[in-house]
Amino acid sequence: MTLSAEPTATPHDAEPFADAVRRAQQGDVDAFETIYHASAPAVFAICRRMTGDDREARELVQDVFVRAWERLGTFRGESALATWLHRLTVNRVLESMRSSRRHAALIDGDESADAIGLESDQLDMRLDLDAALARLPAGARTVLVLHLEGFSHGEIARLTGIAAGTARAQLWRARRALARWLIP
Amino acid sequence: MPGDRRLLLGVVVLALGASGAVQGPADGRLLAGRAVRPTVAIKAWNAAGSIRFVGWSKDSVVVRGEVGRNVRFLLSQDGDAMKLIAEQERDGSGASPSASHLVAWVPRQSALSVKTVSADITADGVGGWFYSVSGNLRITGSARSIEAETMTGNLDLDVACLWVRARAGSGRLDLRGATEAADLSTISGDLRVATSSLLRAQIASVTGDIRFAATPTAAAIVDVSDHSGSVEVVLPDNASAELALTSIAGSIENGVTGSSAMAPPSRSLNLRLGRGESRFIVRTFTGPIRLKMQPTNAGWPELR
Amino acid sequence: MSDSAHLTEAERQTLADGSMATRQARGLQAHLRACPSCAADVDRLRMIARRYGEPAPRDPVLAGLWPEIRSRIERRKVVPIPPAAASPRPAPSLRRSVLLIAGTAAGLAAAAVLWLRPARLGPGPVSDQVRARDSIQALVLVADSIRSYRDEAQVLLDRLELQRAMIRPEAMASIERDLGVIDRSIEELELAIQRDPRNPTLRQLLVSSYRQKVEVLKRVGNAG
Repeated sequence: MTLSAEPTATPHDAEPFADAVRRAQQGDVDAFETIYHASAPAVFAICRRMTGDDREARELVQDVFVRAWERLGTFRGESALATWLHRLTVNRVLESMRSSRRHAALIDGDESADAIGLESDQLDMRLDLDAALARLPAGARTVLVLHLEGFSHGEIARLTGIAAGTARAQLWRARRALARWLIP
Repeated sequence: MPGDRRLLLGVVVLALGASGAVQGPADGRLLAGRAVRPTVAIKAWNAAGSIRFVGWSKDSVVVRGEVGRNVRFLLSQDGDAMKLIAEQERDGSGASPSASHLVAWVPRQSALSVKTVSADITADGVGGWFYSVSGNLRITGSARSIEAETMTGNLDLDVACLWVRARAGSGRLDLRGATEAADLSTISGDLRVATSSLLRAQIASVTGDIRFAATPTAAAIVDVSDHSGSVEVVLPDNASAELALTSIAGSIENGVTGSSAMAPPSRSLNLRLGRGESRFIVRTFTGPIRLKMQPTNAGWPELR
Repeated sequence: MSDSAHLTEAERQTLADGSMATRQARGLQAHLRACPSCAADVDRLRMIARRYGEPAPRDPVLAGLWPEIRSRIERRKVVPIPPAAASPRPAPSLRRSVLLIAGTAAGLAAAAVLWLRPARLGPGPVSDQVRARDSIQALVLVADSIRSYRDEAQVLLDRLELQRAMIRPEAMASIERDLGVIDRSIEELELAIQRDPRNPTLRQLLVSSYRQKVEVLKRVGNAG
């Protein structure tokens, strides 16, 4: 799974991160702010890569951390907080996508495949990764990002509501398109 | 009310009058009496003058007093509730309501809901909701819970009860006695707390001065906010407390160690006294904070 | 492997992301060693995962999202306040009253965090611990939210304007006086927060002022 290491304390507060988690679980919002500043970049990266839109990603970042605050009491420390936040983030983004028009794009693999083919012919310059991801159709982007985030084909199928075979096909096409765009 | 019950009530009232349990002519003439359930809800209204409630152990309501000119007095029963009204009859003159002075004996367990404009409210041994625009409120004795509000009047509470919620505007708010939970605030009036058995307290003022001289229980939590008024916390010298005092631009004087006021930019002070069992959080914007100790054998400071 | 001399798309993809069975993958390693074209293509596909794992550039806007997040967190702690009654209301039941204050108190207790250093009385000197930072407490007032109170205050102010003619002049004067005192404190606090947005004490003081403003406005219903 592609995850950053346990976030380190920010310059904002020198206290150990584990202590911040413990105090936040006891209701200390200032301690939770420490967690926010340390974890927000990784959360934002997932949101941005899955949605392809900076503004939407920022809104989802807020949703994720509000939800994280509400559910912090359920974090028992068996995994790293980053792992726990990661799962929370993915779930939140997928919820958002299901409730928007992108839900149709998620399940319509053929449309995604055609869109990838069209775009790849029009691009003649190297893109950075996020820009390339943003150019993918929503369905293909979601599948690819989930895969790169470490979810299995079966998990991706369950999360997106599409068949495993369709998810695999979308993944391959998206990866192929990105390879063409990123490497001349 | 059935006739035999009226007769019985009349006998009771006369007997009580003879025994002195119900005050006599000093409280005015007898206006009305009713047998009621012990937990009756009583709504009372008197615009001007005064209204006093006395909790007693009888299952009846007796009202004495003097009714103002052109004031209609009414004691009526509405299901399980009761209304006690001294209402100015409208004559179109626009004159201020004339004063009525009423005294009502009510069951100790009754739930009062009292509203006046300028009439002072007094209650002893009974709780409920008390509101006056400009009248003064004085609540004493034991009650289950008390809510008291006045916009410009003074609030004086000397009660033994579980829970108190009190609001004053420009008037003074005093709380004494024994209260477990207190939610107190003024806008510009001074606020003084000298109560025992305190477990939880939220105390706030905008510009009024706050003086807290109470005995907190172990595990008590006291939260005090004041924008520009001063906050004085007086604790017994055997207090067990953790204190977190913060002022954005005011001074903090620590009477525990005798240290002088803190110089800027340091405007925070944390202290632990004894085992640190109770918790005090005090914050002001510009108001000074003063922490003082009171020797336990010196008696409890009276409210100045 | 297909009949052609090169790997199939499926073989390249599953080799690239490691989902191919180990035995099968081992069998194809020899081809990769012998075929630069296939090896390069598999490596390009693997590169995507490597690029993905690189740290993403920090969005400078992220730091500015925190105040809104905090505001939403605080709002979720608001205990619904029953609407003020226009006429005298019955005294609340003991149980409801005690539960309300107990709930508030429990929230205070749960949220209280005091950074304390021991300063004991008795033998030996008592040491003051003075912090340089403006904010030392982390007690968050449950049921408080600046935005929630601000919105509620505006609704009540609008209602006050409609009720103004029905309120006794002396009561109106008292309300306006109290509101003036409170609004001045709010103005000072909001200016201070602009200069020091991370100061929790300022926010707690502002919440206290807004709460008092709402309470004064709610008393309007009883002042008619």
